[in-house]
Amino acid sequence: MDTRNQMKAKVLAASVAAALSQMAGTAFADSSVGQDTVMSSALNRRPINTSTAGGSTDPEGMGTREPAARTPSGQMYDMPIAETEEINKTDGGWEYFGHVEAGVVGIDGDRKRQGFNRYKDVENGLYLNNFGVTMNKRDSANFFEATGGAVGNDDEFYSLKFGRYNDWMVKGFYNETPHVFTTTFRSIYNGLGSGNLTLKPGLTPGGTASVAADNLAVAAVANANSNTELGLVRKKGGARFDMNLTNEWKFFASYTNEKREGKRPFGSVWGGGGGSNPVETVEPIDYRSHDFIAGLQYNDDLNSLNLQLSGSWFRNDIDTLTFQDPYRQAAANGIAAGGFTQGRFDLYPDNDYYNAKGEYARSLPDFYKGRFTAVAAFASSRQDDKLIPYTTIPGVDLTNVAGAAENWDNTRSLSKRSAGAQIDTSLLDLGLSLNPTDDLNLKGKLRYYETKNKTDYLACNPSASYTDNDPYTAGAQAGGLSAYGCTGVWGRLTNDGSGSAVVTGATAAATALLLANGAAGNQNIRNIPFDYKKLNFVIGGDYRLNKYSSVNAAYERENIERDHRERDKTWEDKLKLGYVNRGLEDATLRLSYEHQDRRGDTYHVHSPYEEFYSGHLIPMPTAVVGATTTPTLTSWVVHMNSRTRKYDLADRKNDTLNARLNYMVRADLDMGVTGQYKNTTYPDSDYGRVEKQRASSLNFDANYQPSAERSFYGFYTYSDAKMEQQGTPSGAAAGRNCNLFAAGGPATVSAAELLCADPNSGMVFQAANFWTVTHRDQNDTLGLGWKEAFGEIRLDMNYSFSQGKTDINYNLPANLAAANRLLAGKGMPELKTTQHIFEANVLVPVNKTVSTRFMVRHEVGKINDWHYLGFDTTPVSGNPAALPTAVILDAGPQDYTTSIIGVMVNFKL
Amino acid sequence: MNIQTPFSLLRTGAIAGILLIGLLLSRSALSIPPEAKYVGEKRCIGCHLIENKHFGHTEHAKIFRQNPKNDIEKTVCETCHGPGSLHVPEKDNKNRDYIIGFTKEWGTPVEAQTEACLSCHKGGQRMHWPGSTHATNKLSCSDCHNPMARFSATGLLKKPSITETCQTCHQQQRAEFQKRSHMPVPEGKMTCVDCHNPHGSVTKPLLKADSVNEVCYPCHAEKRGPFIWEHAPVREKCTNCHEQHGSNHDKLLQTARPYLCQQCHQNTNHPAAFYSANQTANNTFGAPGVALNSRVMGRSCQNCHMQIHGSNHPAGARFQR
Repeated sequence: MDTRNQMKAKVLAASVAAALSQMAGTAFADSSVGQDTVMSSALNRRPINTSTAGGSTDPEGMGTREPAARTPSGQMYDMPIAETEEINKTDGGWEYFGHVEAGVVGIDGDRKRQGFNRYKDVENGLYLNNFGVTMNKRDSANFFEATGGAVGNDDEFYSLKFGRYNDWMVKGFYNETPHVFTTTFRSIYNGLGSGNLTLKPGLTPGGTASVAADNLAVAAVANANSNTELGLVRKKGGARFDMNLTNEWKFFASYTNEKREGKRPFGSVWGGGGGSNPVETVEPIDYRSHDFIAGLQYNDDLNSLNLQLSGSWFRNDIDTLTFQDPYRQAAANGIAAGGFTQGRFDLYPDNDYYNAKGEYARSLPDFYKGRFTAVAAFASSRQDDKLIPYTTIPGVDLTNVAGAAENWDNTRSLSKRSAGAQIDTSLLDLGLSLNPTDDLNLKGKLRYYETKNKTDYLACNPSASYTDNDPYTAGAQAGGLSAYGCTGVWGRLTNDGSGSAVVTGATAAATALLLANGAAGNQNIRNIPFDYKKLNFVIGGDYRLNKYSSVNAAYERENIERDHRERDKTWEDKLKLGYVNRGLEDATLRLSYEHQDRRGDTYHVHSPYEEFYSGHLIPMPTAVVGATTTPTLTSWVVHMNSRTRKYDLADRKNDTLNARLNYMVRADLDMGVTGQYKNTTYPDSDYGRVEKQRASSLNFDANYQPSAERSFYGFYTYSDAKMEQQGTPSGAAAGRNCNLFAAGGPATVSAAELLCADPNSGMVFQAANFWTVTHRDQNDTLGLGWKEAFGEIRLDMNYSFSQGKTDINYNLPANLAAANRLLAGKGMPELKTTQHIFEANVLVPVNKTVSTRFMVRHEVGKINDWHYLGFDTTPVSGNPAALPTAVILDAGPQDYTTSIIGVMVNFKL
Repeated sequence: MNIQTPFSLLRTGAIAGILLIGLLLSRSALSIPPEAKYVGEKRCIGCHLIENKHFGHTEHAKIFRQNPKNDIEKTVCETCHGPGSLHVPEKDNKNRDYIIGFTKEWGTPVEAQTEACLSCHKGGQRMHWPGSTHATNKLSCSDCHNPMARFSATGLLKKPSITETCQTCHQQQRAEFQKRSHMPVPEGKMTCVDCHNPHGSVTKPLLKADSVNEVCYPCHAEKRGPFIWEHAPVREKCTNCHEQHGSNHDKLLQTARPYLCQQCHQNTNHPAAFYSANQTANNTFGAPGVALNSRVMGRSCQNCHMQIHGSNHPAGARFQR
């Protein structure tokens, strides 16, 4: 994690945030707007409640209900904690109380392992666990409350609110959240967290003449710099102001500012499209987000109105990541071996977001006691970052492209200098609810949501031209090939020039080769502006059978139109039935069943992308070249296996059954059982997600509260999910191909479009070599808790256990080599995560204002993840004498055992 | 948009049928008898001393007692429980029709409970409560809230935190947050309400924004873009690849890479290849049957396609820069 900040600086920052809050504003708890709904930390998992901090359960409970009343669904309420009686008063009429809990924490074991500290920060030493102060001036109804916790740590938090009850309120907060990605990274770079990664001493940018030596050097440097932590800390502050303008009108406005700083594992790759020599790098995180929301709310007897404007501005203070390459890439595109010394990423660009939303509801008491709602929202996401050149390496010179004018290392090679990306969204939601009788409610809803992608980018180098003379690219046109308003060289230089996906054409002498090889593959020539329109309409009814039970039913139709996807349209019917009975003698039962059936129009594998690939520029061959060359059509007609159905577009049937029973076993004991069963099928999918996908879970919970002094709870959840997929590798069957007019190939172009991508034809894929994978996730989660008061001493113990297992089993493809078949076995090693957490707290009151809390927390985590097998010894995998298969600097997640003990003293003011 | 209408007859029939049934089976709503009068909180406290001890610390108590908006709020207890004159006499204080109770034992119909709360709290964030999933399942406000004591620091919840409150019913989600990768809910840094509005919204899963992605972007603003090179399922819905609560897999992914990616990418060459246990880095290079492959190691497909959420690099069409 990043450097630990000075406590004083953090407190100062919190104070600034608090001060800002006095200028901006907010307050009333609002679960519909914004995030930041909790101020707490790993050792204060509940927000600080100043009224009850350091207190014990009130032996009188809630009074007339013994031991505790139940919610309308039949769950026991908690026994209340006795609120503080130590209320002070100033001469000015302010009543106040407060507390501070501080002490010493000792932590032992694997406290630096990611499994333990992923979202928390606990260190040895003095620990200001939490504090709070509450003030109230009764005669003016003014109040003030401030809380905080984990002071000085990376998960610290502070909140402040003040105002006048039923009138106005200001809220401010400052909250930090750590997020550790790995603690086992072995860095070979200097400059982690910056936009410039340079190799540590001992490594050579661009590699040496000996790959074997480079491999040894990378491993040695990496292992000498092990256990580096990569993570980030979110630091967010904000303020909100709420005010009741009149009895009907309310106003609110809020502003938040979040800084994210740190670094995370990243990748890098060289060469052409498939990629070679992947070496892990480190992405810097230096983000800032500003979010502003303001709204007006109106309510009277008949009408409700919400108007809201919001804006969000994301800024990345590091635009690019330049990294040095420790390996020698092959010569390419005019650059000699060893010339690719560095690469450059364009990191997440700055973006702006605006949203205007209006919501209106009107009661229609004279029209079947109805209610009408209307929501309209318009939003726009915009991004106009300056674009960077394809490479930082000068002198890249592509075959058949005019070298002096190519300029791949500066922005003259781009069709535009900034992104100019924009997606607009709009929402219209109309609803009508009628109550023709007191027992019957009918509702209808119409919802339209649309995204419009206005981004237009051409992969066209306008300052380059072709030098060849073939008719399929530039021909004799000195300015290059013209399309979509740009004249130049099309395609893109990949991976800093170590590869290319450029429509390079061919010399006249090589024209036949071009036709035979399909111009080295179909290449992106412009962006694909994905967007969609979604229309939902719903009708439903809810009928009360008697005072305590009801049935409900709803039918929904969802139509989606997508641009540039394999299906233009999908439509889904959803039928839901529900039953609620709150009147069973000692129980509440809720049941629901939903059936969904999604279908769509013709599934096109290839054609949706045609206009975005070079097949649009270079006409598909339709004749034999010369006397004998039969051109391959693969680039033009094969995007992927045509029997694949992407699961977000595929025909799908889904049945979901939910059941929930709350049962009051005795006056002091209640139990709950919930279950869910989901069954999904993909009836038209031969490849991709296929067959059935099932998920089920069963949950039990119990809550026993025999008295205010004693309570127990327990829960157990079992879940089981299974999913299947199928694929087949590319590779033609013997005697089959996608060469026009060739033996075993398509006889016509139109036949090629139908046959080449079909695995049943064997021309590019062959069905006989199919493979299947079955995924099975099983999880067990157990929780137990015991609270007991031994006189004045209070014990609170909790234990949780969770275990997740994923078995990935497969059937091998028929063409897998015998030796590989033997070693591949029947599946991947089990993915397994286990965690035990035990926590005990003993609260010992010393007097009315002082209590002591003894705390023990013990965590054990174990993890097996085959992705990282072997990387615990060396980050370099592959042939020791060749460019490595992969350099994975992250050694992966580790087992851990960690114990925390603490002694805290709670002082009441 | 071209709307498909194969179920139009069914829909029309269903509406007509439900309307007819409803008209035939009409019943009257339950409410406190109109002759009931407000008596003021002193009468209430006369019996409910202990309740008052806890209630006095709540925000409701302070609002009603220190700055009431109207005469009903001045009555304090009866603001929520309704006029109590019929409930006061000892012989009638067990009559459940004479006061609005918010517990299972008392049995006031949920609709009446909700109506009492919405008399002050309608509109605003509760604009879409009627017809919401929670309302359809006959949840009462007091299934989540307990304004009789300060159980929670804010929100007058029945439990000390939002998360604990939601998980009293949503046990499956509680277990999901315990998985290998999860949102920082168990660590106290997020709550369910950061993404959901339990009081209703214009989306079916009670999301706080108009779409799944617009829920995710406030915390993951860098992924909002838009980018020059977009990844179609990413732009449409983050949950195409990620679980929303927790997962057995890294990064809350639906399943392990490379298999997850291959559920859509069955292209020629490496996307459609078969990946197996003999390709992990645990195997020794050159040994019989070993076929080391970067696509099963570390971050798998994202070793090379690291900009999978979109790229702004001119060469980023395959998300490699």
